[in-house]
Amino acid sequence: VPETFLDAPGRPVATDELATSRANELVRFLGEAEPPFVQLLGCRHIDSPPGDVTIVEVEVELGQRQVNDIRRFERLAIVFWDDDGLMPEILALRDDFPSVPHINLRLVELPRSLCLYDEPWRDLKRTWTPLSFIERIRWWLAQTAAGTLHGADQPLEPLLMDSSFPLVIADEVLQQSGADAPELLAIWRTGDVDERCTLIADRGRGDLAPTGQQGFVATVIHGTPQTHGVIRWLPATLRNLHAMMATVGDDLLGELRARLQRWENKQDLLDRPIILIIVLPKSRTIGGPVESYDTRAFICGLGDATPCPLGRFGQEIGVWEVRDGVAGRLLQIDEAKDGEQIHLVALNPVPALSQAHAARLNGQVNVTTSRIAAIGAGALGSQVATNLARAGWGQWTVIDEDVVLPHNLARHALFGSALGRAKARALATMLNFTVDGEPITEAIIADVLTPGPAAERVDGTFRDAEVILDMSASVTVARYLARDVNSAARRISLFLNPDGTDVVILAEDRARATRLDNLELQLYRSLINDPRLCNHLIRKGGQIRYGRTCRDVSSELPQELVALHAAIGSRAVRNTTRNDAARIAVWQAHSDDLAVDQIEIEPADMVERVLGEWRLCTDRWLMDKIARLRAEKLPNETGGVLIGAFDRERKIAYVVDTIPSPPDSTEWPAVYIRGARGLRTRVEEIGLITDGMLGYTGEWHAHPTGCGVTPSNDDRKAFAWLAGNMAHDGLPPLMLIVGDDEFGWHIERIPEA
Amino acid sequence: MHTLTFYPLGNADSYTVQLATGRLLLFDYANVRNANDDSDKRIDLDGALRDLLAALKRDDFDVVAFTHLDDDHIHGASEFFHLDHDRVFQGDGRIRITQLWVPAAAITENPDDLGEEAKIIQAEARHRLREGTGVRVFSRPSTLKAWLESEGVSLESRADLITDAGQLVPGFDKAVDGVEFFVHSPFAARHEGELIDRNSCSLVFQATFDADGYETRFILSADSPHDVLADLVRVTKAHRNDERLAWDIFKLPHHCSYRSLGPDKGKDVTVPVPEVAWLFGQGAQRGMVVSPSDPIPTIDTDQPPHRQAANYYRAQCRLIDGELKVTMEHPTTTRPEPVVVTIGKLGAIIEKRITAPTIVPASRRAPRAG
Repeated sequence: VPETFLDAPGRPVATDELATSRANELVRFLGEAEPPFVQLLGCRHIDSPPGDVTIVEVEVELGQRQVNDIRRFERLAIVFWDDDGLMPEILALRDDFPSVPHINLRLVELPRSLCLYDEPWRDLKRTWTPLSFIERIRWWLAQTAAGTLHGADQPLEPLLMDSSFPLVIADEVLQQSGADAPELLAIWRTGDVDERCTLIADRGRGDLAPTGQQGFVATVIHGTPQTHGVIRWLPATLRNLHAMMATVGDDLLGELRARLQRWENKQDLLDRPIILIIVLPKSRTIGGPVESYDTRAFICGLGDATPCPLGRFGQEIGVWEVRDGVAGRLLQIDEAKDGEQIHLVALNPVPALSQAHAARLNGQVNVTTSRIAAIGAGALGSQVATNLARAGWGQWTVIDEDVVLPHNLARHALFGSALGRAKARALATMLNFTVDGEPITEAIIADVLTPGPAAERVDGTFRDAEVILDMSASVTVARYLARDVNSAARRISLFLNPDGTDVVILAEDRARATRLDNLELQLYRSLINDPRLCNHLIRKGGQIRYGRTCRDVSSELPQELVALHAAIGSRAVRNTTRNDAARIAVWQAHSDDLAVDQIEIEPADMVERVLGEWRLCTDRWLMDKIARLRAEKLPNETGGVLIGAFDRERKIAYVVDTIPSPPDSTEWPAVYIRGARGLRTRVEEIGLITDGMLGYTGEWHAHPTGCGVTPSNDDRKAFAWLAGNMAHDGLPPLMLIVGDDEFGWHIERIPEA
Repeated sequence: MHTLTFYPLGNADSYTVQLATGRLLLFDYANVRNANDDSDKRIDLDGALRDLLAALKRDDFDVVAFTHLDDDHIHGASEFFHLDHDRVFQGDGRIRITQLWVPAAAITENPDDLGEEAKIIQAEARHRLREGTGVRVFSRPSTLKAWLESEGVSLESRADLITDAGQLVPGFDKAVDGVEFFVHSPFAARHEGELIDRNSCSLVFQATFDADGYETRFILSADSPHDVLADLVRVTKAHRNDERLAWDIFKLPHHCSYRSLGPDKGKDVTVPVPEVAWLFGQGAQRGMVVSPSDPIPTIDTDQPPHRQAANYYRAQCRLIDGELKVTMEHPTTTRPEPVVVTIGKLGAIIEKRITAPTIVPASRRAPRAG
């Protein structure tokens, strides 16, 4: 079959008349390098818009069998525009060049224009060479011949040309069939005239809409699945749209007529302009599964560019006549009214970011709707909450009494628009604006320690929460949440160390067997035992912090570090809440390059004893350590100093570690006299490393095998000595006597003989 | 996917068959390039094959077939391969041959009639047959039996190393390896003459490849003249094995010589004898004919390639929208490169790549600099 060719654009010119550098480069390459498989046939020039045309014949790598009709030799016109900001155009000149995927949509169908690249031209220019360009063309042709240009793992091509006007619209509107009721939408335009025109549709959340919104009535129609491949022009009229959908057997007009007949009594809608939302399911192969959807919205208009209200719309499709603002149904559909008069302006519906959508975009399969009571909307808290809410994670109540002041803005999720606003409320508003649908965040403006009139709401929030997430940067608040709040919610604390280099997560187990305050003390124990952590609480320069109850971070702290720790922290919260176990973990960032080391600390089970007015709070780790020290010295007695802390307000004695028997101690089978060598140095060191959070709390000693843990007379004398010393500081004496699998704890009082 | 690579060696043959399973076969080895002549456009076969083996991380071929013992099919083989029969040909990075394929004539020819290189290959083939391992001999003329007996070995004891025309080569299964080889030549009638004409006793196969359920057929002809091809066609048809001569790829015999088509060169086009015309009519749509030869001359020549023969093949290719590929013309006569044919579910595809200008200096010796 002889091939016939279309005329290339422009008029013939000699090669030395080419103006663009790219055309010259290509011609020089073809002439000098004499590459195989490509031949220059001629040059032309286009005057307006100015550009050079080189006509080449390329030889294509073809298999014996092929999917698309590409010939071994293809003639192409390559247009290089004088304006090098425009991508060169490659026109296939063979007049029966097939309609295949990845052809550019042009105003005239022929010659077809090959869509060679999926990257923008400005990115390609840098590495463009005549050879790579020719090879790309030949590759395109070879892949098209083989039917493999569109990769099996590539998303499907759109069925219709893109519209340039996005319409942001709730996902639910697109999902529902819409057949039952017309959907009322408020639609408004955002931005200034020099911004791309974007329309936002809203149903029911009118409070967010600026003035100037227009009420539309919308209806959603789902089409029959089609195979993707060739992009089509957007239909200009309702009749065209109907014809396009009719090719796959859909009766758009019939469906619209049926719907309008059902809406007949909704007279109040007749003045509203109508929007058609068409959902077209796409499959890769004929009869294959639906992989994705093309959705287009069409604002219906009349020839004079005015919107078409529903009443007129019904008239134009032959459903009813409108007289005096009342629609009167025709006895029979007027088939002649086929929508020719309805002009369509296409919009590109973009689903609003629902919580599920947000989760998906964050790589999460499911949204997590756990109720989270978050305390603290400061630098870390606001950024963690933002990270998680944007991932579709959590139903939040943010509690914070503070307002946004200028210095906060340096490291806060909120921006200057929130200046002077309550942090909690501004954060909630921002998150609710971000995630479409039911609000995902509530705000309570209160200090949890002194909630005042908000007390009831705060209590209710804690009671209903599944997780109480402390990001208050306050030990006081954390201890309050651990011990004084009535709620079954799991407590989790997230905080930075004073230098802001480390972020810590403390998480109770789901059953709350080990409490947050106990985990905090276990963290301190790690500071004194793990050399990697010995600087955790020590500020640069080694100076000791003055305030001891507040995890206030340095006033000089880069936002980068907070962002890093907020990222780590939010991931840690997500991971930790997936499991039931308690957790203590520290991430240390190198302050110069932000490289991070993780230190996971195995939490020990908490052990509590009520002793008179006092509550002793320790854990298995310490008890095992003491039992081991005793066993090592049997049959002799041994002992040591207890390390921990007192909460005098709540009358809790925390014991988390021991300094073993100093070398100058006396350890006999029935006598133990604790020595003192090196003891003071170590106690002071512990105070330094833990910033005073741990210190001397009492004494322990072992009883021999089979002797029980009943205090001896000597023990009682030692206890009295201890009481005298501790009383100077207003603290109770604390003594532990250890026997075979027995721990005899004594605080404040010891039994009489 | 399977890959055939035909090396540009002028009027000499060498090509590899690389199976999707990784098995690697070499048909003929003729390293004819003059290493001291920078203008010699023929490929350095030693280097090219070593590059291929290095890329595949191996130092051997599963099969090396010598279709016959003419120099343009074996040149330099004794310097490239590790040969079992003499330690002189061992070590030094020599390439091992797991199985050697030769026609029976390669065993039975009088060594005195052979050149030095051919003598060495014959000695290796004889050694392997004597030892009963690492060899496959095609056809069993009486002279083969006689030679074996002179060596004190019975023909029966070597029966599993001998394959006759009309059989499939053992060890290659289309379902497992993605290929089978049907033996066309040598066939028995050819051997009983007084004088052994090596071109008449050379190996001819049809390979049938399977790729994802699609079959592609490849005729591997050695240097058979037209009368041998005509006999071959007659024998094949007599056995109703016509489909064993169907082809998608045809490697031409004897470097595009008119003698493989018919007795007369012809003025512009060689007219083939009817059987050979039938054979070249068996090409499938978009089939390809590969001529391992120098570029087709525009003038009359005594030595192949002959332009008249090329004109016949070109016309034949036009009928099936196919291509005649001349090894020394691909992709250009100025810079020939191996003809690479991939075999997949779209059939056979000749790779057509434009070598980047920046690669060219890197693939050649730099000019002498002062």
